[in-house]
Amino acid sequence: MTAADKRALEGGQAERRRRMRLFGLSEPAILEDFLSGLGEIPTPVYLKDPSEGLVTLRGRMGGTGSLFNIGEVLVSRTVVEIEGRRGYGYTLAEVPGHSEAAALLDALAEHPLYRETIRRFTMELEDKLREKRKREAEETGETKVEFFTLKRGEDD
Amino acid sequence: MYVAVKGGARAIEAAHEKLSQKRRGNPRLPELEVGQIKEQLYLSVSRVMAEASLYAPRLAALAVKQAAGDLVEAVFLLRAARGTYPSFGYSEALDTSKTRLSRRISATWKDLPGGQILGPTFDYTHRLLDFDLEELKDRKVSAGNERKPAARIRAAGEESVKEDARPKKEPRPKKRLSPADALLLEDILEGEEDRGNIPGDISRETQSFPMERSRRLQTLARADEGFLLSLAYSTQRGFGSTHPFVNEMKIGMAEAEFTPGELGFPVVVGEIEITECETVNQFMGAGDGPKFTRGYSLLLGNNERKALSAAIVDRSLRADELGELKKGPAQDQEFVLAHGDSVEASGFVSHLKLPHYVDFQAELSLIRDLRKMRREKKEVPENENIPLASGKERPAERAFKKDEPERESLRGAE
Repeated sequence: MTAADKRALEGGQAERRRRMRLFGLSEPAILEDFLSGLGEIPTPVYLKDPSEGLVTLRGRMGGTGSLFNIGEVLVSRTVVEIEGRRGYGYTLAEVPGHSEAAALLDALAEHPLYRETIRRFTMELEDKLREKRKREAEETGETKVEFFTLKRGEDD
Repeated sequence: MYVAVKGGARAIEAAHEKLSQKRRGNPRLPELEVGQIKEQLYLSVSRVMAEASLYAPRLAALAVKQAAGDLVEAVFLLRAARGTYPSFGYSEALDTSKTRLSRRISATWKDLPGGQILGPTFDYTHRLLDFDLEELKDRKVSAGNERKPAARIRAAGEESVKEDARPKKEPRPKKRLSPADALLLEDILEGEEDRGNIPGDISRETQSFPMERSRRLQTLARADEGFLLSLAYSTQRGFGSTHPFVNEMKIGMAEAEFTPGELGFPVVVGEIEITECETVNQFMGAGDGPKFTRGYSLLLGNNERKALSAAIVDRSLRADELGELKKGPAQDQEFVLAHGDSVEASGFVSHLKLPHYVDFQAELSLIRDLRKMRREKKEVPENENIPLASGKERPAERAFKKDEPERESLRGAE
């Protein structure tokens, strides 16, 4: 573990969680477009090539009770290093290249030359995600009903 | 007993070629795309994912295509694929109180806090064939332009975002009040506390009975929908009724969090669709008065009928725990849990189609011997319908002789 890596783990944990979540929840194509927009980036070393594996999902009985396993989800993982900065990509394995793009962005976010650009990009992603969720919630909201019972003519 | 046989490779190859032609259908019609199946047959995809126990919509859609729409076969394909991946570990518990809902209904509380959200549902439809669907409505819309269905986006990336969107904080998901909360406040519903047990995992342990609830719920989550539906129905018809009410049914997207070993803290890997159902059922008399009991299920994908069936069966299977009289198969753990997996069930039933020639030969010679013994004792056969073969060639033998090469291939198979 490099010194930078250690710092990242200790100091930037919350920030890393935040951006990894955004990379995982965003459209892979958006991440890839952004990466190609950066032009030439320092050559990454692949510590773990993109590969797929299972994460067993857990739920709670009744939503709040004891744990149980629901089933597996197919996840993709990539770990890279760019000039000593590690980047981790953990995403669903739906779209090839997703975890790789996420790992590259995660590494660049630790890199002094790119830190600021990536920070701005993650803010954009956050906005996009919020907008998308808002739109979906509105669409779903159109089907909200208020049931009412009919008075049946009986005396109260 | 099953004895392996050899031969028939050429015929098998030709049969597989035939299958791929048949699956393609009329070549003048366009071929189905996996993406179309994933988007437009999403309930097939959901069912296959739940029963294969693998959330991977693209692969599930591929399985549906490959299986030519045979969902049990598609489940088999996806379950087999699942076996080829390494395990990365276990997720954090899904917080289903934060599910981004596409549907949420309650049959017990009309004034549900947060409201009842119907979402895309077949409920209240007339079940009349809609001949409008025979026409392709959006034939002219280019692929990049169509409006994407909410919640299942796999896109080219163009998303219209309002320009004035200043960086606001993402709205913190509110803690929703659930119908169970209302009953819990009044202390008339059994509680559901985290007892801190490490859940069993049926993927790694041999099935044994009695099975504790964590493994039961996992088994139900991957069980065949038809099997669970029939069992649930059987309880309603009197084979061990549990008097269920649908307290809450939810479908939506939940963020899956997982702690990679190299990071040591949980990260969100993505959003998955889940269906969750809770029933409230008739009472258990505890020390502090009667309380409603609960049935529960949580499944991968959009599987409402199965979720309700599984919750009813979960409750039935608690018969021993709640000291109930067992009156039906749905209350019998081994009956339910050992027979619900469609991969196991169809495997064992379908293997009967494989050659059992040697097996059957043994039975044939046995029955002939039995009959010979009877004949020699000159007894009258009990069943007059079976003619006694008097030295003539038996019909079964004739059938065998027609297929001489097959018999050849059997030699030495024993």
